[in-house]
Amino acid sequence: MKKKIYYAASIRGGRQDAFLYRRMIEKLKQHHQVLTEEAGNIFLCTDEQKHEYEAEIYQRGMDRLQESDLIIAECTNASIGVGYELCLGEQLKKEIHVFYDQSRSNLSVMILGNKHCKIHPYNGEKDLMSKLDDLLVTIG
Amino acid sequence: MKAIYFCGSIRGGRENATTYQKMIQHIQQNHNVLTEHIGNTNLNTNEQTYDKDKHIYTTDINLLNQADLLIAECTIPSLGVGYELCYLEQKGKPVHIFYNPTKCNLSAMIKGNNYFHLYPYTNEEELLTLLDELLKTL
Repeated sequence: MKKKIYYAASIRGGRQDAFLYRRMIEKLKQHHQVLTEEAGNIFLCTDEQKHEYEAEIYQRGMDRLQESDLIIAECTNASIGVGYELCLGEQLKKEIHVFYDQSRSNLSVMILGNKHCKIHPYNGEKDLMSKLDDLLVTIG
Repeated sequence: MKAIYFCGSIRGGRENATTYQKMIQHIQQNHNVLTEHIGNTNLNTNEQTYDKDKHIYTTDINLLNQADLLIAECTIPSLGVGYELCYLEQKGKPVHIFYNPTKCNLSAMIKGNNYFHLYPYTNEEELLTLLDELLKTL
């Protein structure tokens, strides 16, 4: 069954992995709906905006989190927004899957030590895509 | 005297560790800082065994539950800090966020959220002045 996925990844925390986010989103979209497709837009504006627009982005994020069936996050690049979204997703009792490249980062203990988050460590993009495929088989 | 949960980046990067240390020293003049280790410039930032990470997580959640309020320095992006801000927001405790806009673009999940009290600053002297002003009001 087609699921609504909240895909979370670093935006203002750094866009070094934007192409990787795009490829993950393309894979997810083959069978599911991604509510946050802009996370994979390599031209996304990452500057701070005026307050009204920031409030709009925040509200849109909250609405999509509520609407989602599950959360898939790429956490190699540290991001305050993603940490916020994972905590809120947990409060909303959403299923949470966290991917991160072990060879490039140390994942926060607030995520690694948290039983609610299912952690998928990987080494390199090939391994990531194969683990993402495995997950997609289980979510149907 | 308040119990204050101070947040700064650990595994996200320790470039600002000495700033965290100075902030903590200011707060400790009149309040109890539950997370003094954030200012330790020799803190181990590597991943630990699963059992140990789970233990640190449980300890931090217990400290979050004891806190009267949270003060965070958010210039360096950090997953853990984002998680902690949200956790205390859910509990209805005051959350005060300091960041240097000349060195980072703060997340819209924080900037666009009216719950948080934001304190942009441009250098350490200004940061500590803003912090002292906040501490006087507690």
